[in-house]
Amino acid sequence: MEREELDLLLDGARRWFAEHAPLSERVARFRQGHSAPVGSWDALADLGWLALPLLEEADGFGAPAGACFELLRLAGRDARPEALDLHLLLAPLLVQLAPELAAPLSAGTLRLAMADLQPGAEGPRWNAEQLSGRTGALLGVEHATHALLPLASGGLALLELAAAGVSHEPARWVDGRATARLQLDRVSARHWPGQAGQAIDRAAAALVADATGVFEAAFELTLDYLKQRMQFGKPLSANQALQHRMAEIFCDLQQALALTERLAQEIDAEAAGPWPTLPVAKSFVGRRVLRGVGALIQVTGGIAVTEEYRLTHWYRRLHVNAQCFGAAEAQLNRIEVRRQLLAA
Amino acid sequence: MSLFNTSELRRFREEVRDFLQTHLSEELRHETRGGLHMAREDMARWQAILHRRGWGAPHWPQALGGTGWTALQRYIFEEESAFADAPLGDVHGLFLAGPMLIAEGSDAQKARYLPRILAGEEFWCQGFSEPNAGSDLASLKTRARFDGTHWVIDGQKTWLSSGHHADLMFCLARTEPEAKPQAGLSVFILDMRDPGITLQPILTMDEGHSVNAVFFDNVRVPADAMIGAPNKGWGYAKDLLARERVNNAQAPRTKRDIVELDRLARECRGVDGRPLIEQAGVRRKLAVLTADFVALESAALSVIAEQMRGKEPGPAASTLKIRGSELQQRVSETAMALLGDAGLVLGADYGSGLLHPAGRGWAERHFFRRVVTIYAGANEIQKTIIAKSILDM
Repeated sequence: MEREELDLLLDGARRWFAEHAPLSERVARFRQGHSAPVGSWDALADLGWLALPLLEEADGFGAPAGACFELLRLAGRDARPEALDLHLLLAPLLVQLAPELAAPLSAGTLRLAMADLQPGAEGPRWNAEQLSGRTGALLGVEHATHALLPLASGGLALLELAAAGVSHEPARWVDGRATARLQLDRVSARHWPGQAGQAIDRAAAALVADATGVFEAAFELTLDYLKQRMQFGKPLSANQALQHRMAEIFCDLQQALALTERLAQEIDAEAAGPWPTLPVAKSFVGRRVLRGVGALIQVTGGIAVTEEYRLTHWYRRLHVNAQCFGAAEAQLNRIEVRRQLLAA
Repeated sequence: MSLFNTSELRRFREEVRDFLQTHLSEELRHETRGGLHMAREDMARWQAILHRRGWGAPHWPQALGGTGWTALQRYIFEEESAFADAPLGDVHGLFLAGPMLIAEGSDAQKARYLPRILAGEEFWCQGFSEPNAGSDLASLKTRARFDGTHWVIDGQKTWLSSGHHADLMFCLARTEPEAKPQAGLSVFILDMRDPGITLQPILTMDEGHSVNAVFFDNVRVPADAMIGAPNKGWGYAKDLLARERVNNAQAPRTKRDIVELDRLARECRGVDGRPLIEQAGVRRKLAVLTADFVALESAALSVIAEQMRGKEPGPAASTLKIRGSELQQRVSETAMALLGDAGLVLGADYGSGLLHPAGRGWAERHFFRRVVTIYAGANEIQKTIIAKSILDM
């Protein structure tokens, strides 16, 4: 994919996000008592975005992870309700496992939700070609037709949400997006052994890219606000305490952007993983990005803790990104001091 | 990382590694790992070896002794040098005076000074800060007046790192007292043996001698000792400090240190007699340092990638000094924590049996490193630079 092509696509995405249920509009809806964020999944297929990460032989565009990440950063900036993040990173894996899934994935008729691994005996088990048990909370359930489930056995299962034996326990994430846990009673599903780890890391990578977009947008909004808001007869941005705080958060933002870029390079170089930067980048979201946006709320002041302000929604979304598919402590547990991790 | 992962770069890394393996003596490695302030002879010896290989100043233009390597190759070279425990050499000559002479010096100055920096024959120091002009450098008072044939310099400087090793100093002095503070400064080359120069050691918190104060009493230097144009010194100094900041991120050496911390955690034992690395808290601490290092390194490599695409270092470069220096301090704090009471001895007590052998040099590094967030423009100054010139606050 050429840079020019990508820039055109990103320009289009910016416009489309602004015209179709942008965050500002959704915030207004929250305030009128509509709890569900609206989204427009079907249109994504028409725009061609769903085929973006698929290889050309699967009628895709063969876009590298870096290009998908740029689109996801835009989606994060607007806190999009469509689970484009899961799709862009998981679709290539699914098509590799089952090439016939390329067509429904590209057409948007197979839409993914995904749950994290459930510890021990609690999670669903694959037995006699069927799946039984209780899943974790699904991300992306809003518009999904299918659930992708990593299993404790290391296997990966794909099932239809409307299949016989599936019952839903719906709930909402802190950022307003729908979620659900599934109770599965001998549900027919597709199953691939040994793919759980890669699927989880792909989902985690998607959330890193989204979180970086959230961080960028939150930083820009705050910087603008500080330059406009007058207190003590001068703009807030004229105070050195706030200048230094913003400079510190800027350091974290630069690092978040650099880690995201590096992770994309690793995914492109070695599609099957492991990607040494993943646990670093994902733990960075839970440790530094979350704290960074918390600090942006602090320097903004009271308005930033109101339900009508966008920072509120970004901050809540970051909690979902930070906790799902390997929270900071779990990711730190995976990091060992090795020269290889640290170098080439 | 895929940026490094080409067969060409892997070959390059092997070539550097082989060279270091062959030419770097065990004695020099030992001195570098343990010694915070290296002896001049040791640094000069290694510089001469590098110079003979043509690697004396990789970042200089090829025509003047540089290697013609890409920014990424230079990073690999620094990383391999760090992991081999190779001495740093004369950073003031190689990274500060050299590039300033290359940018602003006359042909005669380049011909006179650059080859000797390359060969490790002459060492430099930086005469910038004064007792009343630290972060506020432009308020410096050292005067240089022209007496018809010579510049005559009076005043004093402080924080001269390696001043006692140096043959030469580049010195920022006021040549136009009536002008605005930034407008009337010029840069001079001083021979440290010139009459009227008195050097006074300053001992630092680590009990080491690496910095000095210097006094100028009617020091006479010839007219051609000025670098560049008169009264343009502030601009040259700002360029120099910007170069210094990127260098001060010290990512490759910090990477080496973190691997060394891992060794400490495996070799030092807790009160239960088990290696410290078996404690979850210790493992977490090392994981956090590693993660924060990878974040710093990624930002540094982004800058390098931009340089290789022909773009000047973007805003990320300004953040490197802050995060790099903070990380250096956290690394040495962690070393002290791992060593416990065995870490509480300074150089003179090496070998007394109290210090764990792997802990050599850490107490000195730890105490001296309080300086890294202060020097080269304190981190508070860096934050103001970011706020003003990048964030437009």
